[in-house]
Amino acid sequence: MTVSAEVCPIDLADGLARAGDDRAFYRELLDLFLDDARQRLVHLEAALSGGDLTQVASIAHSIKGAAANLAAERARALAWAIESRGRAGDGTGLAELAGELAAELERVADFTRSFEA
Amino acid sequence: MRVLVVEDEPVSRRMLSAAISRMGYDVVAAADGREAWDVLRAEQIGLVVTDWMMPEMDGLQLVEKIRGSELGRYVYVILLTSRSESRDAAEALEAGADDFIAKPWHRDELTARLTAGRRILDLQAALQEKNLLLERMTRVDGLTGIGNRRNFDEEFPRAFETARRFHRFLSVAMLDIDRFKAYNDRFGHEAGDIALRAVAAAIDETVRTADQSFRYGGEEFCCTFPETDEAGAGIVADRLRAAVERLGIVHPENCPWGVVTISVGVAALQPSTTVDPEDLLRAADQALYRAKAQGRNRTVALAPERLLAPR
Repeated sequence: MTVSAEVCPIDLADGLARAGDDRAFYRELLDLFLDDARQRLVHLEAALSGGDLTQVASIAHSIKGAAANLAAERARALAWAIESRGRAGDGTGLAELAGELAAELERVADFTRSFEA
Repeated sequence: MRVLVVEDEPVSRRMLSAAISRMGYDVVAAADGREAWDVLRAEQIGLVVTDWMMPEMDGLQLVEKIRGSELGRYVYVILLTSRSESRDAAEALEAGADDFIAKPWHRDELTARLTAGRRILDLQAALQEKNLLLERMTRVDGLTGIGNRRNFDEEFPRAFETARRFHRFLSVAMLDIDRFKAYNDRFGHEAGDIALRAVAAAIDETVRTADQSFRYGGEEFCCTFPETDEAGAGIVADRLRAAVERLGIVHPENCPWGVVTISVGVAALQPSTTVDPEDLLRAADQALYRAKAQGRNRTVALAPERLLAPR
């Protein structure tokens, strides 16, 4: 996975546009996303250690959708990578990708904290 | 119109709900197919926008469940899918979805598809209303506006069964306009129709709330009196007879009254007897025959033992 961690975790212009340029609403969505994605990630890691790659793909799919909605591009790309490998039944590197996704979620959380609604 | 949004992932659910709500729809949200199903049964939902991939019951299963059940109304279903292969679209439509939207969805497309759905629902509702009206019309007599023979043939056995099951009385009256052929011959069929209408209205206004009146055919009417024995039915029936006479519709051939009158035959179902609806009706017909034979413009209630007599 070679997605630069240096860029901003959110494409703010795109994300805001998706939220109808409503900053308060966008902030609410970010909070919803973080809350939900962190929980899902816990389930994803559990499924991963249980070797249930179908479940891994399904969870990653949900995170991917939400991340796409918020223009959290890197989180989306990571979730997509996990989903496609899980779907292909290819478990290699999935634990690392999950770790990267967890770190990326924290970057989104940092961004959210600094985001003025 | 009320729209149900079904999506397990909260960000998408919130965004979809907000977008649809901003279009002026009343939005209810559910987190999976099972929850959605509970909402559908409890609330008047016209349109469902559901995600495909969900835990528990997925979008496709939800559609199948909606189509396989009787909700009493048509529910328009739009399936959201990130799967874009045409094979998936075919699967969605085959399962019973009306439309599908590819994810990520865009506001303009969502608006347009909801509008299309609403248009179909409106047409559907108008059609359903017309069907109901037509359905009702098949049970109403076109001339007099009261129940027709077909209506009676459906209602009478039902009332009979209820009475028998709960050991209640049920009475039925057969009513026939006296010398109606002579009236038609003298005044013409148009006047005959007017008289029929007036008689039907008088009968329908005079029966009690739980009673029902029907045009049985030609100049013959019939009434059902639930929870009423032959004595009570005789009193109500004679009130009908008097009401018709009071109309004062001139009928010179109907001696000695000179106005339109009816003869009435009444029969009552005794609780815990083993007659069938036809027996009861036949008894009322016999009573009517007697009323005619005894001079017309009168009510004859058949003694209950006549019903029990072997045929």
